[in-house]
Amino acid sequence: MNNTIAIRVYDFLKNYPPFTLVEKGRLMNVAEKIVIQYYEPQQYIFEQDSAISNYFYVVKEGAVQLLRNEEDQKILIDECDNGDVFGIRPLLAKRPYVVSAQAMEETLIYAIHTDDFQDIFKNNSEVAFYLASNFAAGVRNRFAENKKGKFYYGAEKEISSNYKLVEVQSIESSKTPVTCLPNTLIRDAAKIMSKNGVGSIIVVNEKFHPLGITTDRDFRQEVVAGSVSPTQPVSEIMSSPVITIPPDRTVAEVQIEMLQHRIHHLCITEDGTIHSKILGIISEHDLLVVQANNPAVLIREIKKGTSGATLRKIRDKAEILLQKYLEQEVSIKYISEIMSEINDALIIRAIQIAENDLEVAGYEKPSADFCWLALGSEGRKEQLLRTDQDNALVFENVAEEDYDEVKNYYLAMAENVTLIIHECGFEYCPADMMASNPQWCMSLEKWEQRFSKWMNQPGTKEVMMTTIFFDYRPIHGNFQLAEEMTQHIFEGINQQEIYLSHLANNALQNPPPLSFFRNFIVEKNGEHKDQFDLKARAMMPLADAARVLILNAKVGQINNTFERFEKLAELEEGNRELFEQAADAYEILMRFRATQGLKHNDSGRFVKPSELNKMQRLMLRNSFQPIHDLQSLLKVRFRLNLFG
Amino acid sequence: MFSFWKKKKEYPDFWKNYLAHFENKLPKKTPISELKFVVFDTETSGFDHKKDKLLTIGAVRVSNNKIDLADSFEVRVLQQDIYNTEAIPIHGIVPNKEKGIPKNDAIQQFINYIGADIIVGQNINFDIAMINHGLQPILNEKLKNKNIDTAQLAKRAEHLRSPQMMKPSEFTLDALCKRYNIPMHDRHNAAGDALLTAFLFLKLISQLKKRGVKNLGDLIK
Repeated sequence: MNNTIAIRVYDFLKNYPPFTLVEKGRLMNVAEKIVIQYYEPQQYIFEQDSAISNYFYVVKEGAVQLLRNEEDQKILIDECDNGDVFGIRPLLAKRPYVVSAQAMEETLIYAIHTDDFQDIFKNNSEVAFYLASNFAAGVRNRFAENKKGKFYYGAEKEISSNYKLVEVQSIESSKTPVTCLPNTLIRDAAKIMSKNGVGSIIVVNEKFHPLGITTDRDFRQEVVAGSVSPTQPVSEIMSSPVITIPPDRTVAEVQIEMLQHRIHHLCITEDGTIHSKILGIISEHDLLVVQANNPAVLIREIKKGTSGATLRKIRDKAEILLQKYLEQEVSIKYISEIMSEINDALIIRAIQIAENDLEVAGYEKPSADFCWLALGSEGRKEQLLRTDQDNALVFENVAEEDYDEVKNYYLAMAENVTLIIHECGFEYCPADMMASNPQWCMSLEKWEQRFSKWMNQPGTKEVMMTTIFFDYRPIHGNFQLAEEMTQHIFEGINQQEIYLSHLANNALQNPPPLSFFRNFIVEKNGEHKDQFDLKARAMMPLADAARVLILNAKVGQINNTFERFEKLAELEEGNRELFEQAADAYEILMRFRATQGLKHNDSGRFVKPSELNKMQRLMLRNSFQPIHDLQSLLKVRFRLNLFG
Repeated sequence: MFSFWKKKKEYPDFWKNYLAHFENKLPKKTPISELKFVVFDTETSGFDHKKDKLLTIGAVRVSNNKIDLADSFEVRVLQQDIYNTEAIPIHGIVPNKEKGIPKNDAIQQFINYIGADIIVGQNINFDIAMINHGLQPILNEKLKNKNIDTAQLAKRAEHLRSPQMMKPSEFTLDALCKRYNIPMHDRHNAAGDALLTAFLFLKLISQLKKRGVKNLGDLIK
């Protein structure tokens, strides 16, 4: 018997996870035994509390809603469309269904007998993890804790030193070497070099084994000085023997060779000795090019930058570095550490340039110190892409009569700094939350007064303002000023318990959506929307929740959202799992946003569901669950039901 | 009396087994969900059932809105002109499934498969004629199954359409699949077409249900 139909079923399944992860022969075996089921609109595939079947399901065509009955209400859990897997409970547990599945329209379903899939499920951990994640999304359970969401990106690579990435990188095959025979006249060798636009020529024998090297420096020193004539053979002036290395040496090894021999060129030969054919040549310059994207090198370059334009070029290189890190699945913690360091260096350099410019323009630097503060995502060390700049400036308290003069100086400086940062590609803050705004450039005393006022009468706007200041980070200047500000804020919180409730309430403003369906986002009320605001609907709620919980735990010093969650997991054993999930979710969202942003060359903030594959949809949907759970936790902890 | 005696005497086993399926007649009140249907299609070398050759038979069984692929049917008929008759092994052994099995075996396997189920197909009369013609060299009998033509069923479901919309070109498998949102691919493969026809059949049954077609009697008049 042939199996035309099974092949068709296979052709369909193979496009959708987890079947994408199943080997062809095994998937064919599954396809041959599938039961195709037809459902009319409103018909149930299975019902909550009924005994499980022996099958799990894939939507072939149509749409299915998963619903849960809670206190006479039907709560929408998820909507499934073509290729979505549902009803996998029989694979995992023997207990009755906890949700109902109802066809929303005419629907064809592929039912797979659990016996036909047990083998794959047990032996293919990726398949098991995908299905378990899918399952967990509906029932608030975490599965395979040790995997920590790594499944989506493969194993994360930890990198301990700034140089490692570049160091282990192989030298890419360098350009074809320019060669000549030993009896070539110096004059002709020089012509060959200039024709090929190179600074050195390798002298080889008939078998292309390297004998020596001559560089333009040798010409300058020997020929131009007159010690040899251009009509003598090149062998007269070549350096010999050459230092050779085999192919596939890393940058670090090459660098060491050059340092040891105090030379600027290395020859790559077939077997690494001078007795084999030459393959390529590496110059010190090639090494520099390879290393140009090394973060330490970038930071060094930033420190030497003299204008917004040059700084921008360096920041562009950092973006290439970011891309590489994302591609290589470097841990997001390392990536954000590096990117923050680069951003910080850039801000510091901008401040130095601005100070210098003011001096040139005849401004006198006040004796009162200042501290430059990074706010928002840069304050949290989460700014991977060049989004908005948010910053503020605090300066030492000064006598009333000197106040305006000092303030004007710092405003002028901030004006300059924000301009340079803008030139580097960071947009101005649309809400004008920048040190160049008189409202955001004040003395310590004035800042403290402002905080007290915000905390004593917290309206929505004030709460939003204060949240910014729990994520600030001193970047440059006198850090003692920032320290004192922090102290003041924490004292304020201790006196105003209700204030944290306001913050918690603020963290509930944006509940996450439910899921994805076809080309839409599914809201909790079943509404469909075609665009998703990753920042407002998923990242901000997590950052807000982390902030209020860490303040409630009276832990300062930690600004980073996933580090806050990790700390909370440590502090609260009872909610450890939730906080770990939240930390994972935030990492996944950060990575996802950066990847999207680089791909579309924008902030990565808005996501179109139509551009997501099933895997990305599942990944995002799973990150919504901890947000939902965290918001429930905040409601209970801060008694927000009683809260106006 | 004479014909009865003849049957008992001369029928081969497969036909006796086939007839046995028809001993218990299904009541007309049997709900559709309890009926078994075999949706099938044949692939032939042309449209003359007497002259043209049967190439493949494909079928799926539909019961209670489900199609179990493990219980589907697909055979390729061995073509005499490309095969040395002396090399044909004894009944039922397939020498090469790419080349197919002898026609008599294909027909017998198909008859074993369908039993007394209601046979369904697009323009089913042609496919039935093809099978009956293939049956002739084995014995002088014809298929006894109840049958449903999906083209006719669609006309029943759409009787409110204007007469000019009822022309035959509107009721080809292609036109119907389009109208009922059934994605098509690699048409004109017997098993593939049988599956498409089965999807069409399921959708038509669902339509007719709303109009009171609920049991065997309603379905086959």
